[in-house]
Amino acid sequence: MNVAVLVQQLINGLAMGCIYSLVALGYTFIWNAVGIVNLAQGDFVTMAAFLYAATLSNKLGFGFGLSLLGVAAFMSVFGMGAERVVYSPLKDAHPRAVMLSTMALGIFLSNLYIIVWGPYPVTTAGPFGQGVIHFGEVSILKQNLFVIVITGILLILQWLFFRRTTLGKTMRAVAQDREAATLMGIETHRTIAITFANSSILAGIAGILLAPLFMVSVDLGMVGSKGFASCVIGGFGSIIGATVGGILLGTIEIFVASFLSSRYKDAIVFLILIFFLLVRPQGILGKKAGESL
Amino acid sequence: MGTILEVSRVSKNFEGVQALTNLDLSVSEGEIRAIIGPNGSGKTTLINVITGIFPPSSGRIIFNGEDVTNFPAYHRVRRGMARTFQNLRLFPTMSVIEHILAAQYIHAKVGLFGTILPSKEGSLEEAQMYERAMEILSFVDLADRAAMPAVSLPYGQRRVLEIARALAADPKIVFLDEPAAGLSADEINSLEKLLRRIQERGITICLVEHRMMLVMSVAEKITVLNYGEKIAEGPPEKIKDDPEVIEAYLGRELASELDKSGE
Amino acid sequence: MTEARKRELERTVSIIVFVLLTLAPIFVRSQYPFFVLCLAVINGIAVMGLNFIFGFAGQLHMGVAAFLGIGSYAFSLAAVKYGWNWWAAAILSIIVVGIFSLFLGFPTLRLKRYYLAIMTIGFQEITRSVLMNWSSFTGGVFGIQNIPRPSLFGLQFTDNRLFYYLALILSILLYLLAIRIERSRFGRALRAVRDDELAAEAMGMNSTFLKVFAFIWCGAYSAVAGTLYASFQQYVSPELYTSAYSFSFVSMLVFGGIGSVPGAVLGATALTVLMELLRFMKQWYLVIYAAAIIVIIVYEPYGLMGILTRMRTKRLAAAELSEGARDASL
Repeated sequence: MNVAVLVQQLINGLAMGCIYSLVALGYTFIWNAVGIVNLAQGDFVTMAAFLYAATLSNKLGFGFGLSLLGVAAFMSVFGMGAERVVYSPLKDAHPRAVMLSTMALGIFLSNLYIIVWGPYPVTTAGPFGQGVIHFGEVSILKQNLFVIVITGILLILQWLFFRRTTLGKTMRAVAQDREAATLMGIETHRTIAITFANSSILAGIAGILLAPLFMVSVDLGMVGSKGFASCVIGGFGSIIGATVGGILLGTIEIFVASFLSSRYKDAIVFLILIFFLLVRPQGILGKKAGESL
Repeated sequence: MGTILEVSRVSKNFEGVQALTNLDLSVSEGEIRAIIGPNGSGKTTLINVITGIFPPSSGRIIFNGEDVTNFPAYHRVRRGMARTFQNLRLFPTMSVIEHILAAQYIHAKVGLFGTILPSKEGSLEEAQMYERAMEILSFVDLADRAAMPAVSLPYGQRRVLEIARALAADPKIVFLDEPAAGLSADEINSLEKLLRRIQERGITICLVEHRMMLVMSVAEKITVLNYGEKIAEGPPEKIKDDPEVIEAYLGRELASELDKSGE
Repeated sequence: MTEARKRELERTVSIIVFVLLTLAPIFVRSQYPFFVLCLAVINGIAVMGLNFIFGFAGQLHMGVAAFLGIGSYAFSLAAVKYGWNWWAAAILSIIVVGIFSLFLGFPTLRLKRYYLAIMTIGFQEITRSVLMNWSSFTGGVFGIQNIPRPSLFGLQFTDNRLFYYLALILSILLYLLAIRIERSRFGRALRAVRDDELAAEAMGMNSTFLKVFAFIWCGAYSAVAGTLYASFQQYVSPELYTSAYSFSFVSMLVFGGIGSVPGAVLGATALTVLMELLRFMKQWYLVIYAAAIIVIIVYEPYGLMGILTRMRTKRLAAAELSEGARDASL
């Protein structure tokens, strides 16, 4: 077992895990705020990836920074729009109905981007192209390091946002107890819309980070399911759980692909998910079985 | 008249909050027992532990001579416990009679194939269930509402339906969690008569209640809780004047004020 | 609306649908539309199955296509690879899917809320991956060919039309079975669990048992649908059993009327036909379709049966009013 290869795979896994964590956080914030799972989250990621790769980067030649702003702006508006269409009208109905709507939204999106961007996969170079950095025997894709760094920064920013800013505290209040928040004069509806926007931006950034690493196509939606699996594994509803779950899943996936079988990589990942559901449904960090979800 | 329910040294702790501490309770068969106490004293928690919604942290529940402490809730119902909920948990998509029919599920004798494939026993049992359902609805004066959606009933009748649903399970004991909440004085009178009719059928009643007029007139014995502990137990006359009970409800200062002035 | 009236409406709708389906082959001559018709009947069986767990028991199920696929493959492998008799293979497929349903359903449905939904999403992916990759057993991308048609008392169902009527008869029998379950104490108990699981438990119902019961019935119906599908097309391949297909079953039930057995058949028939009619629109069709589902969920949560029930209630109320007015004027 080559140590260099091991380290390389570890970093690759970590990078993939970071992306899963971002997606997982997107689910978690919406779940905590309104008690539903946004089943279209993976399609949000794919849409952002297409937007970046096909339009902003390839067509308009935007650099990373500009693309980031563009995607963030677009996704936040889109997220608030989605909340308006899929959540708002159903907020008094059973949560099942909302989740069905989000599923339909996912199907809607996954076919919409074929119409807008065509049926063929899109590739884009991203800020580093195929650039590799060497540490002795170990070669790491610059993009992977970039992913890890950006995710780290994002996590710190999110933490600061939720702990230090008024808006962040408002969002936490609504997530913890919506009724009490309303009684205290917080505009819960607006806060929920912003929560959706936040989750959408996270999905968007995940999309931008992903695009240079993979071909952007409908198959990218799998990231959504895996991000979701990360939530369950880490502990649904827990922000740290989502992060830990994502990183764990990314790392396990890479190792399974390298050392076990790359064909069954996806199946094994979901087998782990089902294993957790059957044996430890509250995830690694969750509280009580069957209570959090 | 033996003891039908024995709650023995039951404690319940919720992640640091001690809801019940070393509670002992003994209910005689055919009795009407009231459990009272200020808000947060653990009354509903006690009912939840007895009926199996969650297990006690320590202690035993003995029902009809059988230790049911580790039985899941639905198993205890089959043994003869039934309950109503403080916040009314009726079924939004069902009619009044469907509630009573559904509740008879546990006592049905005909198995899966008998019910699904057309059979004489199956049809007979369905007819019997309908008959019994109408009988129970007549017992609580809701027979004329049988086909109506449960959610369309006025509040007072919804509370009665919840009780009827508990009766449909053919219980030996019913736990009523604040059955008089939100009822008018007239409705409480009807409720009192209903409770006595239930007692006449041989069913033991254990009610958690805040409305003292109902408690004082219908309960044979009252158990008082405060901060998860039993602070008094006895017939209504004794409880009424118990200083500790008064203090629990009114607070020490007010109680001593009353004491000073009301002598 | 009273119980009797509700049953009357259901009977009317189901008779209309089944009569249409019986007469349709007379008007449908060419092969492709006929395939769509048969698919409608098969989908109807699967959606009736979904109705047990999603409609009656209220548990979101996102993986019907996976279980249908397992049914298809179990049947096909037994019939083709191991030369089993058609009917024996069909029964085997039901048993296999039943076992999967039991072992996956029990630990998942023990828990409250959305765990079944998550598990079925994951299971869908696993199934697709295994069917695709385990080529030595499942034939991989190429799937299984030369799947036989059934024969009964010497009658071979090679003719498509004949097979269609076999499927339709099975569908009618399964419809009647589903109605009987709905009206039995099990159906009532399932609805209680759906409406308020805690209250149901407080009434003595073992909600886990009931949910698993519904889930196994769903599996059994999915297996039958899978067997018929495999036998009709005479080939199976992994691409047929996707999460999009699973979603289409859910949307058929939502469209037809969730919780209603005639609604399930109505939704399946209507949407299968609609889907094929609009196929020329390609991507646009799916976009509109998904948007339409959202609109239905928001404005008409009980689908077509909901609309019909409302119309009937209004007509009955209007009739009563006019009668009352007539009596008053006398």
